Amino acid sequence: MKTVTVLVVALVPASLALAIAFGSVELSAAQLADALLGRGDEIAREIVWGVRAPRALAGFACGGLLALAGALLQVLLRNPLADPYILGVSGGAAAGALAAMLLGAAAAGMNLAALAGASIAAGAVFAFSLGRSGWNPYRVLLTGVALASGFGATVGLMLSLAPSSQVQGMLFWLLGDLSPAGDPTAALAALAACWALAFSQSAALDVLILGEDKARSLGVAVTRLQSIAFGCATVATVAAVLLGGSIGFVGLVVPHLLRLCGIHRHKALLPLAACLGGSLLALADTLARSLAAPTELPVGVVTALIGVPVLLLLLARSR
Amino acid sequence: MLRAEGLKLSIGGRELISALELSLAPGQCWALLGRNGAGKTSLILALAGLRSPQSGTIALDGIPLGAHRRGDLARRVAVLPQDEDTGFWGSVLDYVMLGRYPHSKSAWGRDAEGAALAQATLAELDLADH
Repeated sequence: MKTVTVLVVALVPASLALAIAFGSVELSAAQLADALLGRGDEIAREIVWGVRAPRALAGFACGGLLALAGALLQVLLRNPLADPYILGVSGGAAAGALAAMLLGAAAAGMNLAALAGASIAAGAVFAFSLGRSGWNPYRVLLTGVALASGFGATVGLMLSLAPSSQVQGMLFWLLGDLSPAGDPTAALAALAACWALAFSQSAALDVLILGEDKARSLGVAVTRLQSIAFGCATVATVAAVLLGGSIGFVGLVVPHLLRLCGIHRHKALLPLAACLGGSLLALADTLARSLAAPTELPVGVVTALIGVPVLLLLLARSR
Repeated sequence: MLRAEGLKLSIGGRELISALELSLAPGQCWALLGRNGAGKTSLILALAGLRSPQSGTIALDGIPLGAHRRGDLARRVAVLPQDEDTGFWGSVLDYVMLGRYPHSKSAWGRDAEGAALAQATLAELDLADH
């Protein structure tokens, strides 16, 4: 477990360094070093500090948020298939963003519409799932799946009605894309806040794995704990979706990768999931920017193409 | 002393237990027998403060269960239902240590005293290596 922890923590600076070093424009080691120190060629400085560094951090924040949300939802719903999008939040955000695109809104309008869509979805899941006796995980799953289907149909309708000039932008949004991510400060702040709040509950989350009754009998305030964790997972998912669209697989796979490596206690799982999710997405985005440069691939495609074989390999080894 | 008075439990409109009077004194060992669906689990969950009865009171040392602080009650009441999850990730010691949650003083640090207690008990039961 110590080796895994060291590797995951070391991956954070390594992935950010690679994300800054590689891209569609080749920079020599000397140019990179100069630009990082704020010297030399102005274009190289702009590429490093104005383009690659914010995007690397945006990728890290987005991946960290998704992995954190996935780890929380998997324990809350006691379902290994739970991922951040099970809350219907990404569907709601996608429907909002695509509707704004169809109406010709600018980026700010799209973000607002995505936030509105995500909030409607999260509000509906909360309203249908939180009763007098607390949270009902089955209702969370059912409401989330139903909403995701409904939003999926709405998105399909908009794609078929949209003029062909807009369809590619819409597809990138749906597949997950960090190119319009912009300033990552808010997302990094959301990651820090959600992580700190979830981390403060890590001992109680360990006990919740035993089931609600046993956790209650051990003195855990189950409904309060679930509300905090659902709240964190929702805010994390919304922040990630607003930043990078629907980037799949990170939230589902990263917590499982860590569990397959023997990390189960939440005081280790939550910080390591945030680090590994962030690093993997920063790396995947570097590949998405570089593989077919100058054409950018949607990063969601890269995460799925890498994530599926890695998970299958680990599953085969742990049999 | 755990005492139930005038206890009524029902599930989905079906009355399982009515007007139950029960006193469990320290040091006693009780067995509860009944047919499937008779309400054995419901009664145990109610006595542990995990289900609210439709009417009646349950009190531990004269204080209603709901008036005890959550942590205080958890340190004195333990429930082990039969539906054990066979997919638990860790060792027997890891599992037992989750039961120390209400006793651990810090959410972060290792509960060394609890771990020593658990290890000694598991060694007595020949479960130390599981």
